[in-house]
Amino acid sequence: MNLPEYIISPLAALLLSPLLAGIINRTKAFFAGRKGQHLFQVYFDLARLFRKDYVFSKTTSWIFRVSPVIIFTATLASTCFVPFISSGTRISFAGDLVLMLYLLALARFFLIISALDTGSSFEGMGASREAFFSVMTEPVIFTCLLSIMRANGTVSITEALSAPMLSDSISVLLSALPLFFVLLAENSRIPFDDPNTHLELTMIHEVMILDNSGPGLGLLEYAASVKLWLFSLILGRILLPSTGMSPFVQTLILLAIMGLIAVVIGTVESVMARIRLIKVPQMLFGAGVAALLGFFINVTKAIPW
Amino acid sequence: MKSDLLAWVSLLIIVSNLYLLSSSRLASLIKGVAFQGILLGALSLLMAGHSASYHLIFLAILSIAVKGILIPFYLSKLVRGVKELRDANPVIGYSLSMFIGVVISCFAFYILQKAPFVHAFVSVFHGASAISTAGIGLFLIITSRNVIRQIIGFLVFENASFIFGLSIALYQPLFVEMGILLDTFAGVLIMVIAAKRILTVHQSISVRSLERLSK
Amino acid sequence: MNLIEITVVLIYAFFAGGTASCFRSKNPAKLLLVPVISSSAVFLGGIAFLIETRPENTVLLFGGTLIIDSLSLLHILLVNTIFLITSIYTTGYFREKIKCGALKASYAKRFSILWQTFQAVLLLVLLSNNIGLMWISLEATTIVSAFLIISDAELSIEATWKYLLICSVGIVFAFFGTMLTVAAARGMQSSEGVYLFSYLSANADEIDPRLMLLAFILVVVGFGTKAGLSPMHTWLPDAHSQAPTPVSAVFSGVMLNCALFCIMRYLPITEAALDFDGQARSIVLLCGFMSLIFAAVFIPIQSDVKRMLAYCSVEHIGIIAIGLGLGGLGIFAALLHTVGHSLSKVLAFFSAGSIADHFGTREMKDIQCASHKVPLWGNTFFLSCLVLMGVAPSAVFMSEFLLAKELFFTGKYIILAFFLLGTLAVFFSMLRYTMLISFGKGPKEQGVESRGRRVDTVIVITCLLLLLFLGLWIPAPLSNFLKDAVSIIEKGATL
Repeated sequence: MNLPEYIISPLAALLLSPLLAGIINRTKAFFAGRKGQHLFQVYFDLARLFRKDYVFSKTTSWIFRVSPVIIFTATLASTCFVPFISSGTRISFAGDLVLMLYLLALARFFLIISALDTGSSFEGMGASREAFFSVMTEPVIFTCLLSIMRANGTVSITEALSAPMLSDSISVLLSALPLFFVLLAENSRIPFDDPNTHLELTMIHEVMILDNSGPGLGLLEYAASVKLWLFSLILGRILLPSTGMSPFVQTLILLAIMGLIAVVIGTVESVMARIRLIKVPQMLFGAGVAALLGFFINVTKAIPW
Repeated sequence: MKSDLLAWVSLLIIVSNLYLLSSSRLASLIKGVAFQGILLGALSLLMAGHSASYHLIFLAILSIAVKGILIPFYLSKLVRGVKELRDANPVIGYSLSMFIGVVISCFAFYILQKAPFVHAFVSVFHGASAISTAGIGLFLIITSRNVIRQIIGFLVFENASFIFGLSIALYQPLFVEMGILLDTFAGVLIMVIAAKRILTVHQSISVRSLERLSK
Repeated sequence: MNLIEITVVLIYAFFAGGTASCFRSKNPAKLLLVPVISSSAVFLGGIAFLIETRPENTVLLFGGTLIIDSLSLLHILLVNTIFLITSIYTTGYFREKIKCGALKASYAKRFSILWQTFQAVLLLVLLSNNIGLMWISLEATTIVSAFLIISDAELSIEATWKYLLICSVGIVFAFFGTMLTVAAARGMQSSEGVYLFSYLSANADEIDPRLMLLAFILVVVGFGTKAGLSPMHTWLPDAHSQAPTPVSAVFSGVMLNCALFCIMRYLPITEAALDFDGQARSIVLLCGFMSLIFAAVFIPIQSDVKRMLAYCSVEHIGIIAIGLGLGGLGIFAALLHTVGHSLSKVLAFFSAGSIADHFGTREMKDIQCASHKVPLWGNTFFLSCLVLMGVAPSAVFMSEFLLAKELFFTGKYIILAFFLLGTLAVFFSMLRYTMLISFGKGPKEQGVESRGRRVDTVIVITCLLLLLFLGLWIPAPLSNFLKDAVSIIEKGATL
């Protein structure tokens, strides 16, 4: 392809991320013994939401109106740094890892303050929980991605993720498990948050977007699926087998792996229950120490064979 | 691929140690130590593949049968019905224990690079798993208020000697077999018997009640 | 098979026969006589060793698996003597205990069997030339002795648990050390000789020095746990105070020395591998020093008489370790101290146990005027504690004096200062305790309540005379014997 990578990747995210969410829903339905939603149901839902009109509460301010756009744009922008097809031209510079994660943090920040802006106590509660979880997950993501960068000797995450030989390194593979945990935590999946609950006291992400409607809600849902796509793409890149193949075949395999990840997420959602809130830091801390171990193994270059 | 597999199993052993440090329920502790026994058997089988030694295969069967099945089964029978035992009740909290466990593991990797006994081990991962298992086993013994958790700490410490013995067993198998047999059967069997006596006498396995002699 | 090997087989045949005969008997008096018979036979066997191994002084047996040299012979004779004395004492001890109902008659059977097994395995530790066999035997002693400590009392279960846990962890450390020794000796030409102490010390220049030092540290930690070296001594006070008196006596008098013996076997190999630069000895010196300090701090605050004696054991093991770490005359002093300490500690435990049984309590503040009420044991307690404190003229005083002299002449003034301070602190506190116990304020009109058996009196007087004798004059054969043992520790078994 002759389009640069920083256009292809967001485009792929836009086009394919709702499909990922659809696979997860379909897997959950399979476990529940139902036929379940259509695989493209999320597309239809988004289209329906964009056709509707806004309803704004009187207590909200301009922050509430502006947030969905900022959140969506920031999340989509951060997908520029994760290559979808590894052979295209990329933006990469020293420290683009920081930019990518901070774009996600920007999105999260606006999500939190728009939730606070509504003045509802449920949304405030969700906002505080979201802030709390992000304190736990950010170090883990940093450590895992730094581990990957160290293994490839680059200072740019884009370069590191497009390197072909990732899955050969044990320390990189050791980072896959904490990243999976972080994926579940950041995207509000079980065991950290239940996306299907209808009880506001138990919600985290869902409760923050309770007051949004119409296109705003559509943008927020889209942003959530793009974020899921982003994390799955990172995980897929790590697990990609490193045999030399043409970029087209590699992309197909990548898509297959991401589909598999979605099925695994759906399975985890179906067989586990949400863990108690006080256990969440412990679980994320466990993921953090695994990431730390992987990073340390990498740093000492402890592989003499 | 073989050496990769060896590294993976060693890494899994380190991860299982961390899991043991973070378990709050005794049932998961016992399952964790059983899983470690099976991992040790797998490690032994992999190394037997390296050098085609019957001793190592025997050690593998021993490890899986005794450490993986018999001893955890006996331990779980021991704690059945004793209500106070369900909680692991450590002196240091779970997250901090896990963090200290990871620090010990990182330290194991570090001293393997600096210290002279690198060639005593088959590979660096193997050596690091031995040292970190020993450290975490000792840590479990020291920071437990629950007597069963202390026993599990001792089992983990013995697993460390098993892992270490595997690399020596490549050229001196008989001695390592004797040592591991003795450690496993005699030491642990007697500790379980002692715990049983404690159970019947105290009806409790809190180490708190074992702190009356303290000066 | 030569004569010495036949003697070994005979000794173990006696053990096996004694143990087997205990299985069928039920009479406690008969059950306790069996250990006396077997330990007398073993004692004679030890003397036979002494006669048979002159003039070669070092003999390998059974194809190199066992070894008898001056060092192990010294320890064997000591072990046999102490076991004989204690077996005789035990007959009286059990008679009293069963009479007043504190112990069941069925306990005597378990005790006899375990007792003889204990001695058999301890002798195996001393005889073995094979590092694996030595380790296995020491582990076996832990297992056997744990069942000797345990009785139905709750505190004894706690003491046994602590003992088992700490000593088993220590033994695994010693296993690490032994395996590292094998790894360090990997480059040697003979692959069977790697296990033998005699081969290792003869060819120590082929051993990897850094690996050997690491192995030695692990060995000191591991075997030092069993020996009661600080900071691994924490099981000692509990086990000694809760165990029955004969068991405590044998622990302090014999088992700690055997564990230290194992360290004495590894020391020359490590020293030779490191080219005699003294690192190995400083490790032992450090541990001994810490033991002395720990004991000197804890003895003044004790209230239980047996616990106090246990800490006293820690102190004396520390002194022996300091002597080992010094080298030269220090090792001579350490070996002499081994003999003196064992004899006097055994007497002290006998008397403390008997006094405590008589008064019904082990608390020192509740025992007074023992030398009037229980004249044999009250006076023995005082005299043996005097010896333990290092009062002249006794063997313990002589060895401590030699140690202090060596410390001074090798220039280790700080250690000398702490040594003197520590022993002084122990002296004052123990003197206070023993004066109160033996000569306290009890009413003198009350008559003698228990005279003690004649055979016990004979034992006590013999031991005290021996201690006095050794303190005044060490005859030349004994001196040469000790010097031979010293050279084994310094240079390894010469073969």
